[in-house]
Amino acid sequence: MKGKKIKDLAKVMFKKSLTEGVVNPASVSAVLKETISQKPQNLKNILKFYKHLIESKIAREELIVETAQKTKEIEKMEKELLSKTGARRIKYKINPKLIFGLRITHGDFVYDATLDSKLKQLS
Amino acid sequence: MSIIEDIQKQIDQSRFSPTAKNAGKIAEIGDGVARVWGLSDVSASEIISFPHNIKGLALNLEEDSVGVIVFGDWTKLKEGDTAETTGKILEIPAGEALVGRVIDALGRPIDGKGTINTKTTYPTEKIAPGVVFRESVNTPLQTGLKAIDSMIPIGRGQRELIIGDRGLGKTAICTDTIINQKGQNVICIYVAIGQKTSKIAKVVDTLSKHRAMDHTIVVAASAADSATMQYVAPYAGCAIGEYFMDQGKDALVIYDDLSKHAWAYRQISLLLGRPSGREAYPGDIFYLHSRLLERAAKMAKEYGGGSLTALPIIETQAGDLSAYIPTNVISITDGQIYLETDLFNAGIRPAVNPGLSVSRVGGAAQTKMMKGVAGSLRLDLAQYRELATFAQFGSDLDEATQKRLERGKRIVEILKQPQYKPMDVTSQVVILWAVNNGYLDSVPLAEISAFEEKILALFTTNKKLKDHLDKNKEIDDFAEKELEKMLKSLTARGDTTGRALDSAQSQVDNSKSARVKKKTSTGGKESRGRIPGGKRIKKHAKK
Repeated sequence: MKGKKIKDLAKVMFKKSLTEGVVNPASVSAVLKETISQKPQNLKNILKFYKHLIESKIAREELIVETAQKTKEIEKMEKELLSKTGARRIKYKINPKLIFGLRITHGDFVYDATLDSKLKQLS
Repeated sequence: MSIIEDIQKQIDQSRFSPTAKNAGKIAEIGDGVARVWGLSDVSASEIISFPHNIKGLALNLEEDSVGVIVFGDWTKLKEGDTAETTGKILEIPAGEALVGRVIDALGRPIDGKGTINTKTTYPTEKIAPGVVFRESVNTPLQTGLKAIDSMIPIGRGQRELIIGDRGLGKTAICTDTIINQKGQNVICIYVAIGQKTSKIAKVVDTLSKHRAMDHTIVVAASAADSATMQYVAPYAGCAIGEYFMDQGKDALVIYDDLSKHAWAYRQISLLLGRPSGREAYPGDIFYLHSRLLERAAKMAKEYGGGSLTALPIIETQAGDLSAYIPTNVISITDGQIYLETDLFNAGIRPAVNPGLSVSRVGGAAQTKMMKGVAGSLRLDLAQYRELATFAQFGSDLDEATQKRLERGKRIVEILKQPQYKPMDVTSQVVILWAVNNGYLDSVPLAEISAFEEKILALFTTNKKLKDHLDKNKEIDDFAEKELEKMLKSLTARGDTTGRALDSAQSQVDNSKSARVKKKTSTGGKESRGRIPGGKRIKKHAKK
C-alpha cells in the first residue's frame, strides 16, 4: 500500500472518530477495533498517521498552560482564553523550572511569556 | 556597583513581549530532508529552527506536513524533535567586508580569517528588477582574452554562458576574467558549486597570487557540502552581487557550475517526493536557472546605474549541447562561449569555437576601435575555416586562396593566449589591427607569439599612441598613421630575425621553382603555372 492510500484510510478512520466535530473516545476505540480486525496492509503506518491526526485534533481542542505556580489571576483569564482561541478546555502543567511567567500551547502555536523567553530576547 | 547598575539599566530599558511561535514535530528525517508535522502557519521559503541550533528551509507545503531541507548536520536530529518557524526568509550578509573572503553558502567565513562584520543582509531569493529599472547593455566587461573580447564581447549586465566538456579551460577563462578586472571597479564573486575542495583551493590560491582576491569574493559549496548548501550557493552569490549593484557599482558573478547545481536540486526534489520529469529533473528546473540569471541586470542611471554580469558555466558530457540542462541555459542566457575538445587538443587555447559561440547583446557594448578590427577578423576566420576544410582535398590552390589560408593561420595563432595573462583592450586592438592589415603575413607561424610580444613591447613605449587610443577609443587617421609607422619600423627591423627566416625560406622556394623551371620550362609565376591545371579541371567539369 502506497503513502497516499495509507493517508486516505487514516483520514476515513479519523472522520469516523468524530461526533459533531469533537473527538469521541468511544468511537475512537470502536474504529480501532474494526480496523485491527480487518488486518489491512501497513497497519502500523496507518495507525501512526491516525494517531497524528487525533493528536493534532485534540491539541486544537485544549489549551496547555505551563506555569510555575497556579495563581488566581490565571484562573480569572480562563474564560477569555477559551473564547479567544476557540479551545474547549484548559489543561494545566506545573513546571517549577519556569520560575515565573507562563507558556500557552494551542495546537501547533506556542505563546511564550516565560522568564526563559525573555532572557533569550535579551541575548 | 556602577557596573551592576548599568546592566540593570539595560535590562529595564529592553522591552520584552510574549513571543508567538508556530511549532511542529519531525515525522521523518533522512538525507538532509525532514518531513515535519504541524507548522500550520509556515510560509514558503521560511527558515525553520531545529534543536542544536540547526536551521532548515521550508520548501514543500503539503496538506498535512511540511518538507524542510536542513542546513548543517541533520544526523543530530531525530524523529519527534520540535521544529519552529522563525518568521524570517533566507538572508545572507552582504557588504564591503566580504571582499577578499571565502564564505560558505550561508555567508559564514571558511578561510580562517575571523568573523565578517557586515551591517546589511540581502534575501537570497528576490524577484529580478523590472523593465523600468533596467537599461540596455552599453559598457564592455573586458575578459582580457583576445578571442572573447574581439569576437564574443561581453557587456556589463549581460549573461554569457561558458559551455564545454570537462578540462577545456572553462574555469581558466573565468579566473583570467577576474584577474583582468583589477583596477576596473568590478567586484567579482566566484561561486563554486559541487566542486572538489582542492580545485576551489587552487582557484583561491591563483587569485591571491595574482592579487585578484582584493576585488573578489568566493562563495564555496564544495562536493563535500550537502545538496542543500549547493542549491543555495548561487542565490547567495547573486544576492551579494545585487548588494553591489544597488550601491551603483559593477559586479560580476561566476556560477561554476550550473550543471552540478541542477544535480543538487534534482536530489533535493527527489527526496522531497516531487514528481520527476525528463532525466529525473523536476518540472521547475528551468525556472530554477531562469530566475537566477534574470537577476543579472544593467540598472538605469536614475536607479543607481549599477550592473550585475553573470557568467554561468555548464559542463557538457562528450560535447552534447542538446542535453536538457545545456539547452535550457543556452536559451536563458544572452549568448554562449563554446569550448571544443578538438581545438583544445590542437593547441588552440582558449579553445573557443568562434562559429558556435555568440554574444547577442555584447556588440552594443564594444568600443569603436575593437568593433573596427573585430568585424573583418570574424569574416577572415570564417573564410579560413571554410577554405581549410576544402584545402584538405587538393593541393592546387590559387594565390588568393593561399593568402587567405595563411592569414587565417596567423589569426588562429594570434588568438591563442597563455593562461593568467589577460591583455588590456588597446593592446588587443593593436595586435588585431596588425594581423588584419597583413603585418604578420610575412612572419613564420612559429614566431608569431614572439613577434606579438615585440609589437606589445614597442606599443608600451609609444606613449603618444597609447594615450590617444585610451582616450579616443577609436582608430582614426592619426592612430592609423602611428600604427603603420610603428609596425613598419618593426617589420623593417624584423628582417634580421623573423624576416630573415622568411627570406631564407623564400630563397629556398625560388631555387626550387628555378629547378622546376628547368625541368618543365613552364616559366613565370607560380600562379601562372597553375592556370592550365585550373582550366583542365574546368574542362573536366564541362565534360
